[in-house]
Amino acid sequence: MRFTRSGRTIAGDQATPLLILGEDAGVVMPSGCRMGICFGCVAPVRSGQVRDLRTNQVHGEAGELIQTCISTAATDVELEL
Amino acid sequence: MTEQGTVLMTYATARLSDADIEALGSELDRIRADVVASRGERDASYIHTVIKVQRGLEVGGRTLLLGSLLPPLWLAGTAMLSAAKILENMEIGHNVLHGQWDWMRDPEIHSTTWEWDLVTPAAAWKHTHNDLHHTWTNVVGRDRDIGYTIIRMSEDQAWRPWHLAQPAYNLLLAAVFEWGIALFDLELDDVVHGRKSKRELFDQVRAVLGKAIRQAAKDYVLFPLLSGPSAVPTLVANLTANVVRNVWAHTIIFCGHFPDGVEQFTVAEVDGETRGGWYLRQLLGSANIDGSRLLHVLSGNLSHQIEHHLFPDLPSNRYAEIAPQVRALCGRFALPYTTGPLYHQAASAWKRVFRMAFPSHPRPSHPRPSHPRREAAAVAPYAMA
Repeated sequence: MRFTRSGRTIAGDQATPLLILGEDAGVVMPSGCRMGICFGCVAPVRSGQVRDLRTNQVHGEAGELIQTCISTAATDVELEL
Repeated sequence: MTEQGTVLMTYATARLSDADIEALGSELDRIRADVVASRGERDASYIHTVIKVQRGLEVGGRTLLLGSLLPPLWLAGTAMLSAAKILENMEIGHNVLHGQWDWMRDPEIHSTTWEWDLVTPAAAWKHTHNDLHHTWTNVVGRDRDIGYTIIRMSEDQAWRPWHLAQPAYNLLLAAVFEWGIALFDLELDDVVHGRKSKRELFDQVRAVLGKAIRQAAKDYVLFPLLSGPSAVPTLVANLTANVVRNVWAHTIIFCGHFPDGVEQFTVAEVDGETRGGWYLRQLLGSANIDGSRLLHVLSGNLSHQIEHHLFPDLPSNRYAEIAPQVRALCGRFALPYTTGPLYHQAASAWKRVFRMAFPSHPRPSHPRPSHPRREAAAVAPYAMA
């Protein structure tokens, strides 16, 4: 997956939250409750689809704000962070 | 007490096995999924209507106040402006900032863009409220909303002699509540304990001052001046409207977690908490208010504090609809559902303010087997299998 503003591209699995993947890659990731209730971690998707780890729902449109703490990559994903 | 193969979780008011807690969690997840799947035009129409009504009340109220030298105009204008501020802060602001309407992808009605008619900036409040309060709800020592660092609201909070005065200063706090929240959101205790740098505090103070100046300029300079000869009565009216909103908000908020029947928790008790356990704590740690639909709207649907704490990001108009299902679950799992009329809940909360003003002994801790520590960065306990 790619973090467009930080310019980092990493290989990630499809089970780890994007928040963790970004933090491990050294990207400055906003966060809050880390459990999907506070909307403190929202980031815009540029491309790709994510999967909600709580419900398995897959979603994602360009410009959509997703919660990185409870989302993982369903396809290749570009996040504007 | 541990049975072979099962761990019993004993809070004061509930005895549920781990399996029961997970079953409760699944049922609540299902209620949530039903609401998420059915969000649509009807809900969007609701919030658009509330916003229209609020704007009408504000414009109407401020227009009437242009002639506030005349007592009937002063009274009607102040009443309308008070209602407008209450609606904006509670049913609209609080809920929009919770992300309840983010699903509409409306750039104006969105948690990332809404700024509300209150001294505390939205960003500061979202951190202390959406994040800290909703994560650590009613955990003594972690949830700063338990008394807002100045009022003793738990036997487990150390008694200090100044707490004897807390009924008096809580009354004062009610009148100036928006300023109290702004100060509270600065989290000064974090700076004192070295958890936040002075640099970060400085930036936050600057943001609050900027917001406070804009708020004061609007209510205490601009609109009074626009009223010409009615300048002073308009200033008094705007001040009154802010105080009315402050007292109302303070009252509703105090009914949320302080009436009798609400459970408090220790940090040790929530160690290793699962998603189902978080749901259970939200339910046991919150109290509702019985009332009319008008009460529900004017309270920002915090009259459904239980439903709000279970599902902070679901649209507020849905809380009344799912309340019967939540209540039925409480019946099924033998859990309390704390609720009562407004005067009763408010009196109960105030009784606690008085009771805790005097020294008392810590409550007996609930013996509970230890759970493996939840990793700080792991979301896994909260993810569905």
